[in-house]
Amino acid sequence: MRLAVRAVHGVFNRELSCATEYWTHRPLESESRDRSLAAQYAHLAVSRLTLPSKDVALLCLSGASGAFLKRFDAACGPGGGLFEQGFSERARRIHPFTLLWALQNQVPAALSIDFALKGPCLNLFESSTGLAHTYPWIQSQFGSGRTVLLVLCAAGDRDEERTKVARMRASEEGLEGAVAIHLSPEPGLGWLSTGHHPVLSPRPFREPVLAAGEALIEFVTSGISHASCTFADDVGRCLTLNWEAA
Amino acid sequence: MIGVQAYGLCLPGGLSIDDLFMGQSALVRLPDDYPVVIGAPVTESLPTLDKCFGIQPRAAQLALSAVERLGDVPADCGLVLGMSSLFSEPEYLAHAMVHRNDCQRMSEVLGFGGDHVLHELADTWRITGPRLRVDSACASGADALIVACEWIRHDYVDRCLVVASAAMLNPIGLAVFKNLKALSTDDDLGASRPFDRRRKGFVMGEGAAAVLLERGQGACFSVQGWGQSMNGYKFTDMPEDLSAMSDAVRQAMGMGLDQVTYVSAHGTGTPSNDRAETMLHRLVFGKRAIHVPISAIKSMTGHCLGASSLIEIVVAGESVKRQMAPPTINLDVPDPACDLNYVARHAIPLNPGFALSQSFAFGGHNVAVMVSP
Repeated sequence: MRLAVRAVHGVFNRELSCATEYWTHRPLESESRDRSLAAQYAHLAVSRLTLPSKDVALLCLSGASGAFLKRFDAACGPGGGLFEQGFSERARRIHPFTLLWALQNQVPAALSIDFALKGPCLNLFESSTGLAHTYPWIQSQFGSGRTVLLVLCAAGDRDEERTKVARMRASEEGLEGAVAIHLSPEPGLGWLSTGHHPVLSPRPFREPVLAAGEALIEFVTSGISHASCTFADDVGRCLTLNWEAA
Repeated sequence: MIGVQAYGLCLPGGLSIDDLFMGQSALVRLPDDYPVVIGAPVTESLPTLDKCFGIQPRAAQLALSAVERLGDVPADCGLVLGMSSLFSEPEYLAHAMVHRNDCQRMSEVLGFGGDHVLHELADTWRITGPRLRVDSACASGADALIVACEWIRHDYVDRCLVVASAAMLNPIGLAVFKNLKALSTDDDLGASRPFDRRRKGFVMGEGAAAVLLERGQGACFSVQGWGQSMNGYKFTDMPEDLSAMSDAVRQAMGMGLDQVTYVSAHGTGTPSNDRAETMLHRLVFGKRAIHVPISAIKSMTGHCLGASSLIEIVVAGESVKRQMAPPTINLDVPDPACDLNYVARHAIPLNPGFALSQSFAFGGHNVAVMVSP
């Protein structure tokens, strides 16, 4: 199945090497009280698109939404441990919004609230290759007369999130940001398709969720007629992203 | 139509599905030496399997238990896992708080991230089909079922295993929900009382469910329709405008509205949820609203969060198959704002027909599924 890309825009913490028509360089540093960094990046990316309807279906692929362990620091005991004696008393210091902030559906929830989106929603968390398996769901949305807003986002280049993936990463420089893609059955900038390979790659490597969005922006910007790239998740399953310009 | 050929449940307190029709409660008091005081009961903690890979999320262990209870899993099926956030699991948090700057030690808890639990489940049952994990907080289980139904409907797979699991019944999970003022503050063992005037919030539960889906009539029950929407309102509050919620419910029922003879409510026991659900039913069912029996099994199971919606779909399917509605226990003092046909205290017989199961999650996810015998 080919998905027509009607519009795309990315917001990143660092500059890409391609022309800036479809992306913005806007590093974010401060988290808000009730919005994770990934949610803030996603907001910025979606705000650059013109959506035809609040009934658009929202498909969200969220990576790490930001570091959150520091939100539990106030509940640590004198020895630095969380569950040292007196946790019950110290647990009251955990900010009430910590739960909302740590929920892995934070990004679609925030987008729905910020843009009054009321259509169906599907959220995948830290799934590098899951996009390939969402086509039947997307097809149903098209069948119901809806278009689909696909959002890829991650803000994992800090604190414990950076530590977690450091050993698996190819480079030190981590990409943070979000890419918003408006998909429809009608032609637009071009067509996106994916392939899924159950064959394991020889070297498992966890590509950031955002990498597929970054690749798409580079394809669109380059004006190239056909392009593809392959990503692998942390057990070596591969996703191939194919681009065909209109 | 998509059939449920088999299911496995891992219910709070070790309850069986028959226990639910008998009105059995899983609620117990926390021991005096529990690390956090919440002033309310919880459900009895579940035992977990011994098979572990490194430091394994407790939610993953419950998921494994549910699939074991389902029986044989065909290797060529797909797998969709509905599992909400694992951040609160004490083993993860205690470890990560200490070792957050140590790459080597942090790699020991990678099983809590990415799709590790999904792959572990798939590999345990040698599943070769596509696999996907979805997360929509308390609607995760129902959303997982919907993705699997779409896979089958579009010939992406012939059969699919759907699993949902949640295990936030731990000191961190309880503390963060308490601080958000979502938990009941009633110390009574009858504190989980959806639609009762005395309700003060939900009671924490944990559990898992697994179902095996195939095209056609199900051996256990069948899925007739489904609907999803977002509220676009607030993270935790129900909107005054119920149009998005009713959209999801109407999508699920399609042309089958008149055939719905039972509703499994989300029924958390929070003041706002139960009031909104009552208004929603008046909106959707119109004059029939006061006649359609509604029950909330969270009165017995507590709120199993990400697993609750799949558990409730299974119980709704069993309800229309048995033509018996499970009760809403602890519903003793009617709330004038909740004035529908709630199945209070004891199970009641049902007319033949379909059942609607609905979930409304933090973040504003609305999900509804209609099932038939």
